[in-house]
Amino acid sequence: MEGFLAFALTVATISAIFGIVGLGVNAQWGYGGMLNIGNVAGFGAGMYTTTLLTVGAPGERDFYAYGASLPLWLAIICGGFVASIVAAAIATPALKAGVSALRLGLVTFAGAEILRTVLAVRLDIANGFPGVHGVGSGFRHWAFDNGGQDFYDLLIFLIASAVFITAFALLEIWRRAPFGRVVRAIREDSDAAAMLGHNVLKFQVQTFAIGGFFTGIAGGIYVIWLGTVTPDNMLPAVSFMVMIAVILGGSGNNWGVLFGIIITLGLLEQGSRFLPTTDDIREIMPYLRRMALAAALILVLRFRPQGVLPEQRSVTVK
Amino acid sequence: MPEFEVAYIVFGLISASVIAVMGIGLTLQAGISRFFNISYGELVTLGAFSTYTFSVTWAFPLFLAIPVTCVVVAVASVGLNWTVFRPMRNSNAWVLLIASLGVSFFLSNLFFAQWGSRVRRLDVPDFLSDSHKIGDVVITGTDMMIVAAVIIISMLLYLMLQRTGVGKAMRATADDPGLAAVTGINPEKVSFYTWLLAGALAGLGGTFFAMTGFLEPQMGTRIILLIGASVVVGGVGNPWGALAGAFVVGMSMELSVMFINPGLKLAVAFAALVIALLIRPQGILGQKGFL
Repeated sequence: MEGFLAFALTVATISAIFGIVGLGVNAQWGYGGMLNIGNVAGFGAGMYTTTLLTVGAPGERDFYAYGASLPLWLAIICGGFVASIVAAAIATPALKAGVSALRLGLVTFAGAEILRTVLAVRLDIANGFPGVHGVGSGFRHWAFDNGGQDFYDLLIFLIASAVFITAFALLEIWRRAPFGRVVRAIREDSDAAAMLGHNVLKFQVQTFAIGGFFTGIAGGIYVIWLGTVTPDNMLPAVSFMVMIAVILGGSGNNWGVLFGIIITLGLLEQGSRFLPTTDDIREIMPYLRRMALAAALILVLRFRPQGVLPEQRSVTVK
Repeated sequence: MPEFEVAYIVFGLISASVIAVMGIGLTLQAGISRFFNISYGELVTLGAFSTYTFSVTWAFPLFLAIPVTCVVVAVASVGLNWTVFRPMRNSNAWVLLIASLGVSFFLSNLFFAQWGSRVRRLDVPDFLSDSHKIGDVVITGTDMMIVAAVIIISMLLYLMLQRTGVGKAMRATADDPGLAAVTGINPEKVSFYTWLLAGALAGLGGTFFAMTGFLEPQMGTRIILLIGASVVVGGVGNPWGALAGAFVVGMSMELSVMFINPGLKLAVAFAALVIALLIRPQGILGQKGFL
């Protein structure tokens, strides 16, 4: 595949993978009202768990202690659960202390940074800074033997979008279910929800875990696509991009999240390569692109803080 | 495990001093504007690069470049407030927080496009780079200057907040903006002076930060977390709290080196933040229910 088709497939794959992250973050922030500026913690936990569960025993140049050689699908699901535990573990003490949304944002940010630093410094977990390479190589070889690069790319896209659609459907059901309604009630007024007998902390922690699960699943698919994981995959900029996409598209609206992710991480990040450029501009293009994204975010917050596709307020018909 | 040495306490004090300069600026601004300004980190970067441009590129003397930088960053800070944050001042605190995240993203990429990712160093005069041996501890002239500067800044700030009209207005507005406005304090004016002061401190802090290490376009993004941590640990809006918070963060970072891998310094600082938040959510000297 060449030219436009390859471009479209890349955009679609990235949008699907980060769309899953966006859905998870939207559950926490859009519906739960809990700011998770360190959402890359769950994403990274998924990447690293999937890596360590699929790679074989450490080779001569490896420092990591253990590789489990599990099948990919099982490793990805385990990654989701580990991510859900990590996300909940970071947020629970802060939620328990009843800190404000801003402080929760700071705590999650700090949590993600702690995780990234530990993974970078400890060689025995996953090789530290250089990271682990050759993740999912068995699957890649199989796909290349059976249909080449195009088949592989298409397969990854199909897997990612199938998971995205499933996640979307599950979270839509969750949103409409009593669970989701209580979570939104807590967002609006936690005291009132507590007075109605709901265990606020329990619902908040569970929501964090649910969101974390989906970010972890996305991390697992992403690491297999990349074939490698390093602590740099967990830089705060990744969290920022997802947060920006969710808020730009519309917090509390899963369609808005999809829109935001496609526009920001898909089209804007990938699309600028088709602009006519000189060498000078090409060098600074990544920076210009992100400046445009940041400017768009500021304008949306200024003139339409609810996002491009805002949350649909449900109306009860009597 | 290395033996306990006085040096670690001295290093902790120096780290704390660098963080404190910027922490005071950020906390004053957060107290008046009622949000966490993440883009404050980019003002720090601007300060470092401004000093670099004046003192290295244009060969000004360093002690002329520093005050000029403070003015430049103070003006940039006020400009940022006027263009982005003041029009949005009636929004939720989270809208402003995310907007400041956007500004931070915008500026750090602008700095990358302008200066590239090459690592630079400031040229400091000999009397600053010389090492002095005091007891068992070796410190540089720069370190001594930074600690002295923090003491002087704290005293000046105390005098300003207690004795001058602007300072009293700042304290009143941070305490209760509504009540302050009723007594005839102009909130616009208070906000203007606060952003000006915060910007100047960001310029100075960025220069100190560059003198103790190196310059790169993401230095502000790296340090803003530590600044934010010290502000939150100390209690948002209270400059003495920021001093105390910087002390906690700086000391825990440097003292942890005795027990664990130095690469985990940052992780220790954040762990200190999380623990402090759990023990005392409003911070050491903070008011309950603020931000």
